[in-house]
Amino acid sequence: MEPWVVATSLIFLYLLVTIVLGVVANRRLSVDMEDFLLYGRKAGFVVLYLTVVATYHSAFAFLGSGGYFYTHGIGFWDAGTWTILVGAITYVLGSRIWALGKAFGYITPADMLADFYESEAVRVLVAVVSVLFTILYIQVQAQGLGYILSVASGDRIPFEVGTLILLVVAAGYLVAGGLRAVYWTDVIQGLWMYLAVWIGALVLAFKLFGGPFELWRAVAVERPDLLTLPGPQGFFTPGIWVGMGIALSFGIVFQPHMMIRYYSAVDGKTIKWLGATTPIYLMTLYIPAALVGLGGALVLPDLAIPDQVFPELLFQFAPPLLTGVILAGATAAAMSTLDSILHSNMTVLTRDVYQRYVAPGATQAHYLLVGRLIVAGLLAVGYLLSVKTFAFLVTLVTLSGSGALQLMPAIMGVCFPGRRVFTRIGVLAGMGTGLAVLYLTLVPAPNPLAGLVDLPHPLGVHAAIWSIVANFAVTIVVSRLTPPPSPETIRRIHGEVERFVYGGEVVAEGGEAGSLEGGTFKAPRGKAHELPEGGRRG
Amino acid sequence: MALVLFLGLMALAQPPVVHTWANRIEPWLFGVPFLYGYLLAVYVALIGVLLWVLRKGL
Repeated sequence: MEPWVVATSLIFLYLLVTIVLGVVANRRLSVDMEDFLLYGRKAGFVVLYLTVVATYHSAFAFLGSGGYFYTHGIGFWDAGTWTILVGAITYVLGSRIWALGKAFGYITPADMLADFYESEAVRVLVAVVSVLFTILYIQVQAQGLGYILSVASGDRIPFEVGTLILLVVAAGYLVAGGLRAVYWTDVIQGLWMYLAVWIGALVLAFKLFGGPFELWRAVAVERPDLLTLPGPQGFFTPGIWVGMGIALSFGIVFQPHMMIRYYSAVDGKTIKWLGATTPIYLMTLYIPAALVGLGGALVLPDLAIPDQVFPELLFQFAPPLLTGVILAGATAAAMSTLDSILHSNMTVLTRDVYQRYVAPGATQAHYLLVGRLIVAGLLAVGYLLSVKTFAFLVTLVTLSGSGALQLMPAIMGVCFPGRRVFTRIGVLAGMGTGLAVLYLTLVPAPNPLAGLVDLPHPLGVHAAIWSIVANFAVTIVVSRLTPPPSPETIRRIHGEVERFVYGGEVVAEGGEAGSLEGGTFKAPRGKAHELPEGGRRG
Repeated sequence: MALVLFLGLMALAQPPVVHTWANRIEPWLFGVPFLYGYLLAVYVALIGVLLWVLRKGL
């Protein structure tokens, strides 16, 4: 059997498994928005661990990281910074977000921010920023999926067709089974992608160089410019190093698909376990990625699309069966993130926009139907972007993270009680300024700064840093001049944070939280710190 | 204590340290170029701090 037939068949076999899981999840699904959107807030450690790591690591990690090591060298090992920061942020901030979500029934990031800042304008802006910038993430996954299938089939399946097939499958099982289907498939995808990238990299290293240490020595002899900073093209300057570290940690954590995972945990302890242990998976995935990218730079030095280095190496030098298994792992990496982002954007648009402003008071079944139609719409947008525009996968993800990063002051204002409270007008002005500065420091044209400074990333400092510094400065100054939220709201929400941090948390047996009435989630306001029957203090 | 340790270690994985003192190939650490091995050691230590914090229940 020809290698491309084996590789492509294994990818389609994998797709079949995900579809079956979606159908099974659909049978367990009740007509309940909280079950569909938040897994009923019952996700335990193992499921949540694998869904968080599989969602965080996507086509960007599986394909994009190899492409960056290939082009810019060892500078991409900065990845350790942002993967460990993700753990620390989850530990400190994620557990607080969980506590507030549990106490007040939040489902989306905008729920939390609009409640604290008492502002529908905050809700709308957060929803728009969340969706706008994560659409880029959909593009990343769609592009990655197209690369995989076109390389695996030896270009017999065109990039555009491969992208479409895989997008439709991901959307199909999401629409069928909601977040339950996403989590179940993520468990398989998280395990598969980790094993695939390690096995693939080691097989290639031994076959092409005699082992990973020999590979490092060959790179040191033939391409020493890849082993020091700022890399062959001078990309990894200090400002870019720090900026990518911030954009790809805080910026990814603040995206709705990650925050929704915090809300869905069964208890706060689970979130802290995630924070301490997910960096082990996230960071170590980049060890084999370095072998792939740097080894590929020696073996295939003239690739037109560096992001294709891993599948190209496999297809040319690994046995067909192994290539198929590993490329199915790459498919898993992209699909596990794609389904999560489609799900979170569907949640944001259904909850924060449609349910609130277009058709309040409709039935649960109606909102489920609308959510599914939104997925189809997002799919179309992501597909068009992926076939019309091309960029480094890592570049797109960093841009996506830089946009979501603009939520940082607003979220910190909710989760960290302090003497000076951020205000509604302060965070709106800060976010607006941050987004404007992000545009001015990132987009070469049309841009009034073009010709005056080097674009993108003026003075070698990443646009994420310029924008978040401006955002914080404006938020702080404007907040001092404008009225804060009501004392009752501050006391209620900051009080809940302080109770969680200093006074112990409340955990209901079975992860029960709130109730659904008339199509709207009713939060157990003011009752969260009362010990429920069968519950315990953590 | 944990916060200071975490931030101190994180500073070792950031500029200026990584772009000056640690930015070299020799000597090799753990069979890999210095910068890569050095960062790997710092990252492992950072994960160790997170696990220690979890164990202490902070």
